[in-house]
Amino acid sequence: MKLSTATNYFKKTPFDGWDGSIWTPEVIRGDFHTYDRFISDRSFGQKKRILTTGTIPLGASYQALRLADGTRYLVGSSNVDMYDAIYNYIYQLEEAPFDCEIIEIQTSTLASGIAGAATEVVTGNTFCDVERVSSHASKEFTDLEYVEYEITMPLAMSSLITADRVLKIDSVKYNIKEASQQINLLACRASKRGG
Amino acid sequence: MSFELYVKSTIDRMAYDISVELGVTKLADLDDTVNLASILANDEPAIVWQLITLDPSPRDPLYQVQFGIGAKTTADPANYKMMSLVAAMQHNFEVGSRIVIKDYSTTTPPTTDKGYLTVTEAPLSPQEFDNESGLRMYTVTGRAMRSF
Repeated sequence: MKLSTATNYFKKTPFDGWDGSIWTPEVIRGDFHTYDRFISDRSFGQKKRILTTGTIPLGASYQALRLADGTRYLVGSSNVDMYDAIYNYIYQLEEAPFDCEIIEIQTSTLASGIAGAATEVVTGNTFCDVERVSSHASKEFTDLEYVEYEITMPLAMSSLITADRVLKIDSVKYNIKEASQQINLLACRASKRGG
Repeated sequence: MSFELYVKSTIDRMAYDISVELGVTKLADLDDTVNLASILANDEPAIVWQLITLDPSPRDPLYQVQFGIGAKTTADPANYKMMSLVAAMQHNFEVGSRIVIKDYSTTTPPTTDKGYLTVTEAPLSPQEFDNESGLRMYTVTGRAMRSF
């Protein structure tokens, strides 16, 4: 039996695709796995999932997928299984349950020549995943910890994300310290305002 | 009355004028937590400053003021670039010089004087380091008087 016959047989679950601006209904069908039996990072199997699509690849423009129940996933990476020929396309997906506002701090040049009088302006909206990654102690006060988060979002947001922007997620604001591409996703290291 | 704000904004203005004079496009108040990180992490030279103390001494309207002002450079072997910037700004706060304090804190240019500051000391302080950047400032001390 050809391996592709088996992998194509199991691709029953439909997904909507997001290309950076709009959602398109049912761009691909696949077989959706948890893979939580593998030893890996703590979120694997809980938020990070595996999608196989048989011999039909997901269009390269799609950076996120959505199930019929509305659950959104970021397309983190893609690989292929091969045996002489490709018999299975495999995607690592990361759940993106949070809505996110991207805020720019706009300033006016004062008579001193210095930028001040800051106002916050929403310059974009997206969806993302939030994970606490570490904390560091205050340099001034004992018992005070500043917590750092990794906020993962589609690469389409790259042009809006810089280290001086702010993200607002569930009414909480995060100051971005660093933004970098991690495989096919945009990962922001950020600290929560107010600790 | 907001003499503290006037003094702060006057030092900001001095730093801005120095940056224009020296052709340095980056400048940052070392206490500006919003913008400081992007300036220090940048590899371009920057004018840096910090209001250290403003002490009513012996009492208002007489004050003792201390602030730091200098330059930060990156990839600067022997620190010659830094020292040339620092040397070029020194004439702005020579001992005995007078700095007019105005309210530069709004978008409207100031029209009235808010006080005067006479520089009494301006030693070049030890160099500091932050990863790949070096930073050296004058510690400027002066006596100020608030205008009525």
